[in-house]
Amino acid sequence: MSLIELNAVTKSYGSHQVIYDATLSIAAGEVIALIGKSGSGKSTLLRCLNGLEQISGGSLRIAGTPISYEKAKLRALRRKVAIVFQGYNLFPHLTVEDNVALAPRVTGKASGTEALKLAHRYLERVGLADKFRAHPRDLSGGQQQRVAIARALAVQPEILLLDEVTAALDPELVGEVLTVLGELAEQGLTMVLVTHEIAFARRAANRIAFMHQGRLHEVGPAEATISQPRTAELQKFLSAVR
Amino acid sequence: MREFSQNHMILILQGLGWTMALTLAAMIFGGILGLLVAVLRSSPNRWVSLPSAVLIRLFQGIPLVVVIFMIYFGIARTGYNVSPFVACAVGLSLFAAAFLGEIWRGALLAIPRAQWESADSLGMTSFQMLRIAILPQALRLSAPATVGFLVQLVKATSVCSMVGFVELMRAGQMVNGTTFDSFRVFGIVAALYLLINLPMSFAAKRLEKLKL
Ligand SMILES: Nc1ncnc2c1ncn2[C@@H]1O[C@H](COP(=O)(O)OP(=O)(O)OP(=O)(O)O)[C@@H](O)[C@H]1O
Ligand SMILES: [Mg+2]
Repeated sequence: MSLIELNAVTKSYGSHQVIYDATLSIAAGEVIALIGKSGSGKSTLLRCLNGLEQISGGSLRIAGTPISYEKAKLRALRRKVAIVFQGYNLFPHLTVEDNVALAPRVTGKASGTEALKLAHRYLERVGLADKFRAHPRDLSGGQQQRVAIARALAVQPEILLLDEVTAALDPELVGEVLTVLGELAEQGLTMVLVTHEIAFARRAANRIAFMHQGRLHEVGPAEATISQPRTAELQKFLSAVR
Repeated sequence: MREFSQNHMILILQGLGWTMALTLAAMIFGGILGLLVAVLRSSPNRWVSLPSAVLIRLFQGIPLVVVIFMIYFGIARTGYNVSPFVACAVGLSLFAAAFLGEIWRGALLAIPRAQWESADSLGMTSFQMLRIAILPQALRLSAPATVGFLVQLVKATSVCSMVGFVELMRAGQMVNGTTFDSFRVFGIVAALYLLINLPMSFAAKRLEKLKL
C-alpha cells in the first residue's frame, strides 16, 4: 500500500485553478523530487500534502486515511507529515534546542528533559551538536535550515516535505544541507522535496515529478527522466536550468 | 496658613503609594483584559472580533475622567456604593485594556504568517500557537510601546483626584490648600511622578534596541 495517494486532485484559489488532475502514488521509503518552473504549482501541491492548503477536488489519502480538515484530524496528520520551508521559519525567541524540542512537547510525546534529549539527538544528526543553546539569529542560513530539518524530524514523521530548502542559501552553504537530505534519503525516510538542484534530485531521489502549468506533466525514475526526458516541456525546462 | 511640614510630606508620600497601587491594579487587570482584547480582535470571526473592537473604540474615544465619573457617580445612583478606589481602578483598567489591546493587536499582526504556518505544521493547537510561538514574539516586539503606555498610565491616575481619591495629585492639592506653598508642593509632586516615569522611559528606549 502506498503512503501517499493522490487521485485526480485539483486546487483552485477562487476561480484561479492552480492544480489540475494530480494523480500520484508514493510508496513508503520513496524520495520524490518535484521540479518545474516558478508558478507551476509545486509549493501548492506540496502544501496540500500536510493540509496547509485544502484540496478543491479529487481525493488524497495519507497512510490510508482520507484527508480531513477538521482541526483534531489535521493535528493528527501533522504528526505524520512534517514540513520544512524555504525560509526556515524557526521561532526567533527560542533557543535551537527548544525549537527542536517543541514538537515532542506539544504533541505530548515527551516532556521536559526527555524532549530535550530527543532534540539533542536530532541536532546531532544534522551536525549541530555544538549549537544547542544558540539562538537562530546567531547561526548561518545553512545552520538555521539544518535546525529546521531537525525540528521537523523531531515530529518523528512518516513523511518529510521540503519546499526549496536550499533556495535561500548562499551557494557555499547549499552543500551542507544537501548532505543531510542525502543521508535521510539513504536511511529510508519518505520524502517529497521541491528543488531546483537537478543534479541532487537525480542522485538522491527515486523518482522525479515534473510540474508544468499545474499538471504533473512527466513522472518517472530519477536517472532516466533527467537523462532522457520524454516530453518537450521537460526537455526545454532542463536545458534552461542547465 | 501653615508651614510645610514633615506631616505634609508623609501625606504626599502616601498619595504616591496610592498612585502606584492604582497603576499596578490597572496594569494587571488592564493587561489581562488587553491581552484578551488583542487576541479576540485578531480573530477572523466577526462576532468574536467585534466586541473587542467596540471596547477599544469606546475607551480610547471617551476621556478617562468621563469614564470614571460614570462609574463612580453612575453606579452610586443605582444604590450600590462604589469606593473611589474601585471606581478609579476599574476605569483605569478599561482605559489600559483599550490601549494595550490595540498595541498588542498591532504586534500580533506584525508576526509573519510563516510563523503561524510553522507552528501549525508542528501539530500545535490554536492556543499553543499563540502561547508558545506567537505571543512571546508579539509582546517582545511591542515592549517599547507597552512601557511607553505605562508612563501615560501613571500620569492618567491623576484624574482620580477629581472623584476625591487621595492619590499623589490630590494629596498635593490638599497640602497646597493648607500651606499655599504651591511651587514647593507641586514641585515635589512633579518630582515624584518623574521618579516613577523616568526609569520607565529609559527602559523603553533600551528595549527598542533589544533584538528578538
Ligand atoms: N494563496 C494563494 N492565493 C492565490 N493564488 C495563489 C496562492 N498561492 C499560490 N497561488 C498561485 O498558484 C500558482 C502556483 O503557485 P506555487 O507557489 O505553487 O508555485 P511554485 O511552483 O511553488 O513556484 P515557485 O517555484 O516560484 O515557488 C501561482 O500562479 C500562484 O500565483
Ligand atoms: Mg514554491
